[in-house]
Amino acid sequence: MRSRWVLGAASILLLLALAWAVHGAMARRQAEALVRADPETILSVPPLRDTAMRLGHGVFESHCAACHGPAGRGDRAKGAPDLADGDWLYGQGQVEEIEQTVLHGIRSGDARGWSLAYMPAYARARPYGPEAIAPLRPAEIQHVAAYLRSLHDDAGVDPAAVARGKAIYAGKGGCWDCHGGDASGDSAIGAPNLVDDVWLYGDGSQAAIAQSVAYGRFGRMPAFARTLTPMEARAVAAYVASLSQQKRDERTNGAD
Amino acid sequence: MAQTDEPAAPASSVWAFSQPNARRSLLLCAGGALLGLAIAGFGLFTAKGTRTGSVPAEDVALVNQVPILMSDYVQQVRALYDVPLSKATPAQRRQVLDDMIREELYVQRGVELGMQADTIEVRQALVSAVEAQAQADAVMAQPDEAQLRAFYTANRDKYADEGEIELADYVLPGADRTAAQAAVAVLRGQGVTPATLARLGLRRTDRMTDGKEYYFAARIHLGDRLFGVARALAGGRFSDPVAAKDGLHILHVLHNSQPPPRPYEEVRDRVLNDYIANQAKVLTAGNERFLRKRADVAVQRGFE
Repeated sequence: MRSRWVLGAASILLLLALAWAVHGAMARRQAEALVRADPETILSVPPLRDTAMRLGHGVFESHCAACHGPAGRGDRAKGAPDLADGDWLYGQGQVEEIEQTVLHGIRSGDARGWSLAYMPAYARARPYGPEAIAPLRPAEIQHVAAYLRSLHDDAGVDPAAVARGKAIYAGKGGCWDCHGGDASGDSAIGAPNLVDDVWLYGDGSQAAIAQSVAYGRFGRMPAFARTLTPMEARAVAAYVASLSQQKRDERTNGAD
Repeated sequence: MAQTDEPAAPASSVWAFSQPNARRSLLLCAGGALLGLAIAGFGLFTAKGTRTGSVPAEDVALVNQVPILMSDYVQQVRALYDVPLSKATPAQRRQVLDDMIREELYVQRGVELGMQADTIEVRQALVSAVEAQAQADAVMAQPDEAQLRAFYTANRDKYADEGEIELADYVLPGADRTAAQAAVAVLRGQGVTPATLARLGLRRTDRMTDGKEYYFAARIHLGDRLFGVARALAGGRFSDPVAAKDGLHILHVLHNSQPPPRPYEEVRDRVLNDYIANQAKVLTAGNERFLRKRADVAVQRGFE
């Protein structure tokens, strides 16, 4: 009688171990399929998407949420972008681009990371380390800020200051060089769009803009190439892309 | 003691496996040893290194067991043909893979040939990469708020805005200090008018004529000595005469705002950058100390 119980318990344990092993093997296969897949197809293939969401959410919570927030809505005090608003500082929000940013970071010291330029501090004697840029006077900085503010709302902005600011933007300040002649930014170098009302720092007021122009910005993101496995990096990239998928779909449908 | 006359057992045949045979055992043993040696010899003389049976999922290829990452491959396809992987043609995929394998083979060959010893670009790239590695470690170690606040407190002056100053710089040619002091008294009593300036023989220099300037710019325009005097004056005040090569200067400060300190919350990103840069410097220095300590560096006599 006792031996029957032992045999029964052993069989159940064996079955559980087998089930665990099969489950592990299947999960492993799904994760492998994730890294073998075209990154841009992951969100549209349900099994891949499910794997990416499950794995990516955990990675996001442990490595990204401290700066970007648990819902990925960013933190202007830290200059951590909102990942759910569909506005991308670098690239167009494709999974593959996000994956490269996750792996190599921004101004992270990783040679393959994004680090082509940063926002000069025009109120300093040497505004920009890599090359010579002339500083601006306090009034000039206010004019540039007035001009940039006027691109959103010209109520209460001095038109003469706006005109002078526009001239500085396109001339002495050299702002156009990164942000473009129409101030729409350049996602190839991480120069923010200045006309879309999405602000990385501050509230978009003239004073906040002037602060950025005067003292510069140098946002960083660590490189996770040595911390995350390739599967984790791919999964969290897909997870981050999914945060703004609705916005992206709206934009795509709008374009159609 | 009974003696049996059993016939002696016939010697078993070497290949009669139903019966034990010492010679067969020896032959099989020798055969096994020879087979083992043959396999080892084949492996030794035809080896391409230890290799795994399959390519890991995260790699697109292994070149002498060095992985070419799938993520790099996908990015390269995008960079060259501007299409996602699923839209790339087989020929495009093959071309990218061939190019990446070729690059890896050349890199490995370069290392075999010791290119790092005599190719300047390779040496520079290696130095930069090792330095960047230290910085990457610093960036990865995200400091907590308490560490950042402590760093901010220790370097609070650094996070003040630039001071702003606006002034008029008048000069009285010559070195008549009494006349200059009298001119200052008149200006303080009557204020500045073109007529007063003309009567006192004062001329405005062109050093500060563009309105408010940041302190660093005012220092450049005025020089350290005059700027030091101006910085200490409040708006609306006149300085005492200051001797210079071209005469006696009187500064009329119109506006002076000392560098206002910025609260931590407003400069957190700059504090974080400076903290990381500082940590990177510490790590780089530590790295260099370690390398020097473990290295055997012999220096020619007379060049120590």
